[in-house]
Amino acid sequence: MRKIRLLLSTVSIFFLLITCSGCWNYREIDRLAIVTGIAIDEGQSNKYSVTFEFADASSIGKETKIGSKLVEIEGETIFDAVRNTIKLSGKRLYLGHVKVVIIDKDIASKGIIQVLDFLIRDQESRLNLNIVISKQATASEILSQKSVLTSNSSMELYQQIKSQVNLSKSPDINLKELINAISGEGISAVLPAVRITDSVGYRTSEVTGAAIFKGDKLIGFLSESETKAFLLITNEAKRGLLILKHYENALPADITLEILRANNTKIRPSYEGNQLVINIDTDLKVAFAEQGDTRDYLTEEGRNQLKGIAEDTLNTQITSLIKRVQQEYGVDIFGFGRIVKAKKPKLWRKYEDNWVEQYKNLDIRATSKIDINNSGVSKKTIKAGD
Amino acid sequence: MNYGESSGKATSNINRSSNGEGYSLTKSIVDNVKLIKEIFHNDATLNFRYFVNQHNNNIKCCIIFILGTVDLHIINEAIIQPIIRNEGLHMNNDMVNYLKNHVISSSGIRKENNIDSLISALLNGDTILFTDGFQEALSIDTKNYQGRAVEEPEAEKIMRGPRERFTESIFLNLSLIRKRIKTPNLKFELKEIGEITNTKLCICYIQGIANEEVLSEVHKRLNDINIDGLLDSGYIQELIKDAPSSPFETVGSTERPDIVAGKLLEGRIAILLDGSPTALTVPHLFIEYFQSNEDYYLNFYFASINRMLRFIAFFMTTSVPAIYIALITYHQEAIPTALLLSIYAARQAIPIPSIIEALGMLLVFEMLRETGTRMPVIIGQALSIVGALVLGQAAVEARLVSAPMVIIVALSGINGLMIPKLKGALITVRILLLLLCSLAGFYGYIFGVALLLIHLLKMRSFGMQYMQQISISNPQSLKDSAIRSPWWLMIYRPKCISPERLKRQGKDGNGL
Repeated sequence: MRKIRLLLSTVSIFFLLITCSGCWNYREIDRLAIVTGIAIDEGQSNKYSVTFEFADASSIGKETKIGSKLVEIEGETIFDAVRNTIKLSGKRLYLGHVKVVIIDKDIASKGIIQVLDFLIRDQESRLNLNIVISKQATASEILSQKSVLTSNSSMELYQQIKSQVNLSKSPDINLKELINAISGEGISAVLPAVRITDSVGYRTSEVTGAAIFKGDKLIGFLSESETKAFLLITNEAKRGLLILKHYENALPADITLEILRANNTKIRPSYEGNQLVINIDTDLKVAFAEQGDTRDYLTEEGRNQLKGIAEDTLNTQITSLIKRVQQEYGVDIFGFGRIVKAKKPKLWRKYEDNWVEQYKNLDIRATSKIDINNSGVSKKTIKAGD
Repeated sequence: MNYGESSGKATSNINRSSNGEGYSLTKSIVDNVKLIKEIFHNDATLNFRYFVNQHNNNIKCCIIFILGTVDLHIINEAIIQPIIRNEGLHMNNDMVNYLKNHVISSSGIRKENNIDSLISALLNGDTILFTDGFQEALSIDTKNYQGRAVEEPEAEKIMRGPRERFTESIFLNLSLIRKRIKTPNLKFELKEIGEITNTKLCICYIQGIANEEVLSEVHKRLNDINIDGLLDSGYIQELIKDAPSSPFETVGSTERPDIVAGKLLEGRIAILLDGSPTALTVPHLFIEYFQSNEDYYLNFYFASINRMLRFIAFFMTTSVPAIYIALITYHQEAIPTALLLSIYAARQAIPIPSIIEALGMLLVFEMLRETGTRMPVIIGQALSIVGALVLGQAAVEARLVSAPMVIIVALSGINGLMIPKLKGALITVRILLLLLCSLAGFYGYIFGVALLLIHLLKMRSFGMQYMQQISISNPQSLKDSAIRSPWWLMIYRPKCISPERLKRQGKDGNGL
């Protein structure tokens, strides 16, 4: 009797716990339509036209091939479009492995709240997926471009964004960070931008620069070099190159420095004479990577000169970027407000209410410190002889 | 002597169905022989030989033995010849003693007039000598059962270490143990067990190291056995088990004398059964499934790696199919995208659901395994061709099963063979976890693992906690668990097995 009671209570606990374990059900993997990328455009008859990229696996005998297929469908809302795909494919969409969501710039300039809400609310899509803005073509066109190395263009786009660590020409922002930036106080959102580019014999998509937002609406783009300065300010850049404009005998002879360590930027707000000043101290370790002239920069004097040029260049890039964003867009994509709030909370209360206006007139002081650590595997400069 | 009462185990009712009256020996040799004949009627292996002393025709003798259990050479040389040729034999009251002490040259000889003992001796390969005019008979040891010689172990293969294996003869087996432990403290207690078979059973232990409580518990449980016959120690293993319905064994078994010697030195108790080449050891803890005798002979780094491999194998063989099913039918988001896509591709156009596929493939694997065990060695090649090619490759190519499933099942199966003694439990746990996973995904898996742990932690083996040496609370016991510490660190015996006399190394602490 005791044993039966024990068994019954064990079984009932088992079934009770099932109700606590959230959403689950048995579904065969081959019955799913695994979506890897979503492109969202404006529709013709409906509000949205959504393009899905599926993983398409065909296997004959031992041979298995993983390709991709595109499906374009319209819907009044995003979820409507997602469900409408059943009309076409018969399989239910599985969004658990979506890597990128491309949003068309026309949609983005009208607001992306609806897209984001669907992505967050859906139990399958992940918070670490990447959102990109199409800069020159429609989102659907970008998704339908041929990929270079893989068979799936959204996976390749995802790889491009993730590899920005070594390039620092585009930000790597995932859904969660985007939501934080949009809804956060004293910061505005930035997203990577993509466009279509011509390569040898085919067209493909490339990540280029960044798109900047006011609230949830797209208001402009940053170029690649501007994005690099932006990433250096916000401590997001890890690797990348620093190109110094240089002329020898009135001919361009640029110098390239490779950034070895970058994420040591300090932003310090200070209050001087009734004026809020933002001090940006960048601190880079670089390697001397390439030169276009025959001068020897490896002497004490040459190194100091090079250091001076590099620091000046970086300071100029930083201040001019901030100036442009302040004056043209008036959005705090650098998160200065957030930093002021964290470091000078009393001061923040004064600025809180009209931060957008205050931001436009902020005084910026950029100081850079660049250490040249090595000169690659060469100690000498090539001498041009007769 | 009243033969009809149930005092004698050796003579059960099969020889005497209707005859209720008692038997007793007389002085007449003819009557005595007739008596034995009557008890053993219809037994063609019973042999009689009358003979007379060549110098004194009054001395008539008869020997009785059972063919096949005796050495005829010894009978000729040590019994018949000396009696026939002896010149000093005289009919007097002391003649039987004279035969026993001066004539017959055998290592074992007893004077008996109890018919029960005589019959028991006869069945055990003794030769009975009746002498005309005397009630006493002599029971002379001429045992020579035909059996196997000591061979190499087959079920417990090793790279390094002794290559001897128990045989079916209990005394040979005991000698293999004695050869390794030369101390008078090594005790062999003989018992007879089985109402009809009267099988010899031996309890071995080292006095002073073995736990007395366990010993008396072993005696108690063995005495409770009431069965007609025992053909292998497997009968005992199941009959004295602690958790009768559990798939996990609480009585260890081995075919290697060096393992038994090792267990005895740790304070365990061994049980050997005549006719069975497998010895039993108690108490048996869960960790012993993962310990191999070779671990103690090889370099301790290598031994520790092997130990860990066995633990990993236990996890893999029980859990890999279950986790795979949970992943691909419930938790697709937990698989990395690239892996998901290749599984997705492999699953395309497979007509059966994953869980049926998994159960079917596991069934096929078990069939192959069982076939491999049962079939004659000569046709072994056919199995590998059919098993590997037809069922593996062809089934995948025909898209009846997916390639990942073949890998999963093979992984689970191969890892299961690494711990062969655990096989019954492994299959049970594997199927249980698989079914739970197909019902509730990872949630079911965790539930199954919790059930398994509760079951294992609840179990005892002869009073010892089954999972004892795996607990991390006792660092001493960990030295011989997932790793095998070097010998110079293993100074103590397992605490739970031998509570007194813990130390096994050092000047004053070798136990005895």
